[in-house]
Amino acid sequence: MSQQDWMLMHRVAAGEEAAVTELYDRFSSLVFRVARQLLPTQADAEDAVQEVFIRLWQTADRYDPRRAKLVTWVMLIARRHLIDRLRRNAVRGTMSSFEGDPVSTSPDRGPDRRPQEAERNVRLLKRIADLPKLQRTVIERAYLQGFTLREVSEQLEAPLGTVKSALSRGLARLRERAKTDWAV
Amino acid sequence: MTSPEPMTRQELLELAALDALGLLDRYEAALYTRSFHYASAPVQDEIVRLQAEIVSDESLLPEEEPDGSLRERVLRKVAEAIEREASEFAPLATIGRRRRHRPGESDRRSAFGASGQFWRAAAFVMAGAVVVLAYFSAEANRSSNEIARLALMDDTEQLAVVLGATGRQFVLGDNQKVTMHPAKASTNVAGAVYVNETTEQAFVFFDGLPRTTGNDYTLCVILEDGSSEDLQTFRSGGIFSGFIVSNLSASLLASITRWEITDLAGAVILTSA
Repeated sequence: MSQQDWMLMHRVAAGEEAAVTELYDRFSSLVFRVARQLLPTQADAEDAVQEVFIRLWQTADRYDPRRAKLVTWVMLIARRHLIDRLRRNAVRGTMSSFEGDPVSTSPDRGPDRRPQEAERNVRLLKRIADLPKLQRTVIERAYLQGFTLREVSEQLEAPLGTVKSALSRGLARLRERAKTDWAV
Repeated sequence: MTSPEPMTRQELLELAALDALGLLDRYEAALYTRSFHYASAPVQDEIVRLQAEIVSDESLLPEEEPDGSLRERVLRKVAEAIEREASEFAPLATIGRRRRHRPGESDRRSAFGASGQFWRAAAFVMAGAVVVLAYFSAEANRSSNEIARLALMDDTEQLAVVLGATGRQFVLGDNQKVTMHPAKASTNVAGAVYVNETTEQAFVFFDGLPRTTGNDYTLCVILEDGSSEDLQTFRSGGIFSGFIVSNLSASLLASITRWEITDLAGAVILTSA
């Protein structure tokens, strides 16, 4: 598969329509869902998906199948682009308190958007809510809101290593939890 | 300069999710990739598999599917981007030999701008040729250090004389110039960036970067919010050289606070700060 994926990206880099279409058909659902998770509106998410696929064409010749599977590469490009977009568009509030409400402190993703987000992410948010407090806060800020780990570390006044470790463990726990839920 | 030790298997596995989800900063991501390449084949396989599993995990994503009409819009936008790039570089590429049509090759390719990569490659080859010519021209007139000195002294007219046509356009055009200085005063490196906001391109040249065989250097920008964005990786032949960076959107250019060139470990070598 990796050789086929490399060939696919080679064809995408060459601007071949069939290859771009195949790439879209394979990954549009994942890309759209991550865009929907990070961006406030459907229209924002759709714009972002267009930009992500242009970016994938622009970077296609850099894909190395030995370093990552194609899905990893696609999602990495997508998430980086979405986070950049979030950071450029957002005028963030200052979060200084570990006890503060992490969602409502970001003006572009303020309380008025919480119901929709909650609806979309209902299962995920439920699982996140069950995590230990530090893991929960770090996941909300870094994974869902696009803050860098360094920013989160400063906001929480916690060592960077602690934040990294909490995020890593929190994500692993979420995935384990999801498997258990599906199994029930 | 010493490089940090590569990460252990345990560290690589611990950070696999953060790397795959783009949550590591530029330096850590570079260190992660470097460590990945040092790891044994079984560990590499384990990481590749784990990262694919993580990013494909739908339990972390909302349950929504894209609208059916999005497909057509995305494909059209990509096609337009490819065509736009092809037309931008077409005048340069017409100098070269026409591409032969291979029997059996799909005609649909041309409708989608099949020439995109060709024009892009042609443009880069031309840009590379310009740089090589600039180098030989520079050698004939003065040392490359002298060029770097001119760049740093804002002597654009003299600099333009020793650059090729592409470089000259950037240097003498109505472009914003950003000078990059060594991050460590003891190193003998120099560089500059000429930004053309209209074409959303920049011409970057540098001198004194140690020779590499792979694309070990990264041109990156630091944005207003403190985040960084990698624009292009490149190699150095150890001589005065340069390249064109395209697709610099107006919003990106507006938010750049400084330009940097970093090495494989993420250490800053040149900075405009």
